[in-house]
Amino acid sequence: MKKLLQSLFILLFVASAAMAQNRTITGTVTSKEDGLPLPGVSVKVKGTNIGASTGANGRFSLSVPASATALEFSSLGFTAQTVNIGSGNVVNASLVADSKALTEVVVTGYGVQTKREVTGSISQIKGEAFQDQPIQSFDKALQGRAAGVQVNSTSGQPGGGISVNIRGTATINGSTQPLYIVDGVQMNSGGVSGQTSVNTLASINPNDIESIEILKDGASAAIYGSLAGNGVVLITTKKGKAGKSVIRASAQIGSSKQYNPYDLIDAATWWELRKEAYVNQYIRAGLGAPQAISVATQATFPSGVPATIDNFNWIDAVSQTGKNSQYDLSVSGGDAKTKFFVSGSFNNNDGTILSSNYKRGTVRANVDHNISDKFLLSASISLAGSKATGPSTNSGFFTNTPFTGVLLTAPVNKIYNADGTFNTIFVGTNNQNSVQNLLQEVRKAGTFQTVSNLSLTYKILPNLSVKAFGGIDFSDIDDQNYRPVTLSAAAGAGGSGAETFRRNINYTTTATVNYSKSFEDHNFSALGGFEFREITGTTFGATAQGYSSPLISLLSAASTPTGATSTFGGSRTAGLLGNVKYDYKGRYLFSANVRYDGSSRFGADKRFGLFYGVSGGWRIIDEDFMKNIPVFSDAKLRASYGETGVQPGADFGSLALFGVGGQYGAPGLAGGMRPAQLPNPELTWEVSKQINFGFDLGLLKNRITLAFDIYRKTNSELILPRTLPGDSGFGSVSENAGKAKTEGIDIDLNTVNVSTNDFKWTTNFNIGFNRNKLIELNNGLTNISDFFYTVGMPLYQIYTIKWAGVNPADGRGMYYDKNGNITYNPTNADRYYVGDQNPDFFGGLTNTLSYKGVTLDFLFQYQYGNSSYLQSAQYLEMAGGIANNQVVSQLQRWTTPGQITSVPRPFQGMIEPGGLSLQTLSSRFVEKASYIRLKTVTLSYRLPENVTRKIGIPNVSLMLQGLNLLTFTNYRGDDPENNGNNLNFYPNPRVISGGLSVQF
Amino acid sequence: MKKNLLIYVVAGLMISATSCKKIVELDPQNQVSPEKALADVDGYNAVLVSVYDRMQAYGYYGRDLALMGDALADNIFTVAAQAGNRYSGQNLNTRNSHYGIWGAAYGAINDLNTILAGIDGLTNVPANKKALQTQIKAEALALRGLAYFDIARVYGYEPNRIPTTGTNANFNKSAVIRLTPTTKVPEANIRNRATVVEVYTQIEKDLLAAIATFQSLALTSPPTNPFKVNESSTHAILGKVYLYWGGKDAAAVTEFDKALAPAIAFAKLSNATNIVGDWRKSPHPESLFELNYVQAAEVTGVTGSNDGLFTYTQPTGRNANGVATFGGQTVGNELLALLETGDARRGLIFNSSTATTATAYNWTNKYSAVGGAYTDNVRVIRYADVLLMKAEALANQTLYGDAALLVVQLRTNRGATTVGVPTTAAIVDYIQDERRRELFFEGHRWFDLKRLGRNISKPAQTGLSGLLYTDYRLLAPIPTGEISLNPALPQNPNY
Repeated sequence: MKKLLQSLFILLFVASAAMAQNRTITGTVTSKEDGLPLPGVSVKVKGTNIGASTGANGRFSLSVPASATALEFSSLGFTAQTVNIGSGNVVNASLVADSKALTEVVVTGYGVQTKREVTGSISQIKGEAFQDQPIQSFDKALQGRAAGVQVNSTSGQPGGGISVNIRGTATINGSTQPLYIVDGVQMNSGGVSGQTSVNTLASINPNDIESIEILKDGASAAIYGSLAGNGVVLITTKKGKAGKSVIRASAQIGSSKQYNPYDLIDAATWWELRKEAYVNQYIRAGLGAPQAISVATQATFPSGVPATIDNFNWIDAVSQTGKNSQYDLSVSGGDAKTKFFVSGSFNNNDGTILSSNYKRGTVRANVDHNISDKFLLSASISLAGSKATGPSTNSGFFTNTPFTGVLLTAPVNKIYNADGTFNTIFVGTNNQNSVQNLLQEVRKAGTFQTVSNLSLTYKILPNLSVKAFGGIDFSDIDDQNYRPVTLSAAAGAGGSGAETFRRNINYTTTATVNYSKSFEDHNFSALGGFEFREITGTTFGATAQGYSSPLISLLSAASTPTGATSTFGGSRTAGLLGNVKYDYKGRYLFSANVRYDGSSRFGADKRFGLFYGVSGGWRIIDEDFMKNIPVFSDAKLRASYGETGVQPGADFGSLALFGVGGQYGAPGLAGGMRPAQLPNPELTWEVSKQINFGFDLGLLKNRITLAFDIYRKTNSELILPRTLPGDSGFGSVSENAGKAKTEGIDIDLNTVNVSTNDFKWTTNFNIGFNRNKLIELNNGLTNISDFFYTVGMPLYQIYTIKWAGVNPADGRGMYYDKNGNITYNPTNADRYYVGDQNPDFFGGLTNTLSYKGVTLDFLFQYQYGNSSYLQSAQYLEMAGGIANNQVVSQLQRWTTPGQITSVPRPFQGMIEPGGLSLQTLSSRFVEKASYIRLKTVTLSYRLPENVTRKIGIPNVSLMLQGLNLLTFTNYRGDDPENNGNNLNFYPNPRVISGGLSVQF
Repeated sequence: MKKNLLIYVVAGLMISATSCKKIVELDPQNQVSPEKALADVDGYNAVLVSVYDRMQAYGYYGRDLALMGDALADNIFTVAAQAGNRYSGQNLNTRNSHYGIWGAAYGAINDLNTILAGIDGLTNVPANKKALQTQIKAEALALRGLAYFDIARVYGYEPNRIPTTGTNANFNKSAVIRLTPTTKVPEANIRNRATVVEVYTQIEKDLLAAIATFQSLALTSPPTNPFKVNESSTHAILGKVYLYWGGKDAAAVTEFDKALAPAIAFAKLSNATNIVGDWRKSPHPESLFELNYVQAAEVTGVTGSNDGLFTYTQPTGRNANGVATFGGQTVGNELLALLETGDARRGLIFNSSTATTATAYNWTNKYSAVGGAYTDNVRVIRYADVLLMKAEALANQTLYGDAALLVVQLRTNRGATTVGVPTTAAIVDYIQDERRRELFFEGHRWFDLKRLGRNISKPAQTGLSGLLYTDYRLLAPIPTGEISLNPALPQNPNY
């Protein structure tokens, strides 16, 4: 569009000044691919500024001087073409689409740029890269595909959560997640359900996405001001193209399996270890082994040791093979005035855990209509409905989630009693039967969501337009939980139920003015605007207990209502925004962004702030001296600096508040109220300043392209709690203080390794190096959260005692004290920094090989150097000293003096007198979680056209794909993708699916 | 012309933005500003409700002050394998396994300071709310006295029992005194601990003021339930404070007498026939002050089954409700031996194995989920306790005969023999044994030993010999966060 305006302008401004003209050339420009006419193509007389552009029918008419020898045709998304003028007056051109060209459009927020104009650091992922993949939300598509963008799955629940960090994190209490914007609508991100893991971004069907842009540097993101401190992810959905309607349909089905690396010992072996643990304990206490065995027996088998000890594998018992199916249909097309894209999809995914399921249906209609030459109307309407059932992943150890429960439940515990009822008496763990919990508890979330927008653009002049935009991200979620009386957690209450209804309304309105002008070689454009956004979230919930029958789960079937809640939260953001771009001959590029932003989350004294960014670029390739070096096809230097903000997480964090203060029945219940928060009118955004240098390089006609960026991000005014003396009645107050920095390098390398008519092999390799450091805390502190954050060290330290192995003399676990000497009983003063949870580098490697109709595409995702805390090992690696499941490695426990082993001797209770509990967090439970994972593999076969033409469908493809098929790691936990504490994690499944797509 | 249009549009946008700074304001709905919250008497009443709610917390009266004193001392043997880590450390008196009421008590104190700072200044109080206004003030004063008393006895010594030898010799620090609410950050300034005597003086002052305020209400009948602190229970608390203080026994007796005066007291002494049944009543007829729990509102979800008194003290799977518990707090053998077979209080103890072990232990039925699943009320102060404290105060004044009469009165009402109740100085120790017989599993034992300067004995089943009175563990640790913020607070010795 902008090119069109520019061309028109050139035509008006320059052409009128032209002198001698002696003939008129007409012609039609079409697309080589489908033969359809191309509107808006710039047509220029070679070596002059004389030009025109094609109309809606692809036709143009141009007066050319007698000296003219050739015409140059250029248009966005097509390779420029030069056609010699013969003697005739008609010159037609047929343009070849070129998605790899530098003229490719990059969405930058409130506008677009061509790739060649970009001066910041922006990663782009095209929709084709993840089309038809068995993923439910697009954030999963970011995995391994953009340098410096670290994506971790936080749950294997289908449609579940994900965490995205752009260029590391340099905050402690602020949000670490980027701002997501779908077609101009700023989204809330995160989970929407309180019952299971439901990702709000799953309301967008990934197959509807045209491209995803990630604004990584501060200058590019600055146009989003106080919300942009963690980078911005812009999602653009597909639009129709003028021409013949395209219908695309695809269907696939597949299955998923749980990924469980734990090799557990069987019940009989487990019992041997348990006895050994008791014997060791009793002998150490000066008592006899027979007494130990008798106590062990009473504690393990109250009714006597059975003749054969049956083994029960609880992990297998709660696992299932998931089935997934996915159906998509889209129709797109249009004419010169109206373009449309309409789609629908349906997903049905079983998780790998009993009762875990996700179903979703989506519809979308994107329409653009030119009301007149001056008015453009665009609408993008989407609806998504989903139903999710499944366990919660982040609360509780047994009743709320099965993951810890099944991992810890000892193999001697049966699942069912002899009469077929569930066993509810357990040895070693809480009397919770995870299979029963999963099967009998109702835990579900129904969501209904729309992310839609409407905009009207009015072209006042060819180079001046105004645009009004309104968008909404609306969701309704209904959470239900029901625990029948048969579950022990609800037995006392006669069954319990809870239902919560949540409504989130998040809307954005924007008004912008766009202006552009060129004077000879000087190109100038400006954008100014105002934006307002309001987010509100309300919940209404009720709980009840005392159900007449376990079969009726609605609250109305309960005899006693136990509570009702309603909550409200929200914030408003408003700001003025501006962007100015200037370039000279497209060779020297300059851009500035500014935003004056205010938010209700900021304290009264600091409600508005100024955010800005400047960037510049030098397209060296366009300099004359580069013309003689043919190996280079592209070369550009880029530099940028920007200041953005990270908003405080709390909606009302700056106000003095009285909140709900419980209740008391004396005897009639009365509600209480109490001081909840001290005021801090100074509370405001965290400041993120980022400097970025980069270059883009293209070699051998862009067979090799490289983007390199180096950056430093300094976050200051970090929101930190100032601890108050507890006797003041308050724990802490939030304040802005403290500083952290992160710096790194992003490299993105694309190569076309082989390109023949039949065979093509392309590779993308990306890698992001990142390191961060805490520079300053508030109040003169040198560490907080018990050394998790220490000044001068990277954020997220693991600071604990150091394991020194097993004493060969007596089999006890040893530790190092602060002086490096061996001790059995280290204290807090003997702790060391034993791990850094930040990876040294991470990234992805994609290879695409195609031979005739067959395409093989595979993506490896990798991460290196991050330490992880294995909480599961604190139970599973106790050599039988605890009545939980044990892993096979524990059979190497110490048994005889002189034995060299890394597994201490079993000791009931795990505390040898005079020593520390073996369960105490030490470096024994910290290890590197580096991995390489074959994240996706797709094999597709496009049936030859001569076959498919016969059946009337020009394009038929078969595909077979896999997710998470292989993982190379030394990590002992369930899934190296899960960072941090590894208990209670729903592992990512292995998925294999196959399907068919047709297009005509 | 067209340029002007651009200027107009941009200028218009600017104006609309600057004139609308309000555009980015949004008020919370679940919370309100202090001005709105404290606009009338009902607002202050809601803050008072918050104080009762805080006292209900498991870490405060809801469990620890009601039970942990028995585990820290010699009434409870904690069966670690059954207890799911509940009180296992406390029963072994391991370092840091102790009370932690600092946060909850000071939260309550700040609420109470909020009430006391503003309740008198309320204007335009309707006539029908005047009595409520006075009532709130009286309760707030009494509860502030009680909260400071709790902090004083958990974290500090009693005025006349400060050790003179050992690591804690002459350590006389007690609570931090704050009598005004914290409304702004600068008011949350750092303060050091006051001395034991200063704190006890402040407690006495609050309780006396509370009594005077209760009396100004000129109530004509005793309260209909003991669920809120009242004049009767305030007298009892003040008497208890005097008893802990030492050397104030005559004043203590006066307060105990007033506390039990039928004109103001709800509580009545139970008799042998119904003592067991009375433990299944809500309120307990002997309660002077009892915290009431409404299961449907306060003990839902897993809170009760994880943390309640029932789950701590009842055998898993083998209790009246047949539900799973973390029951590990059992009646120690020595305690059981103190109770003769005919004593009606033995009816509150039963012997049982559990669903997960064949070994049988002795359990108590004082907490039997009377209020619904895992729910029991907490008896903060009870008639028999007051009776025995009065006997002790009399005995301290060498009025052994008068003291013995009260003990006989109690034992008669418990179906226990009155033969052998001494009328000599031996009654002093006898009263302490009687307190164990009467008040076991009610959290008193630790404080009784500590206030008397006695060593802490342990059940033989624990294999421990106990603590000397001079042991640093007689005092609970101040939360470490408080110490890192203000090392001069100071921390209790040796922590």
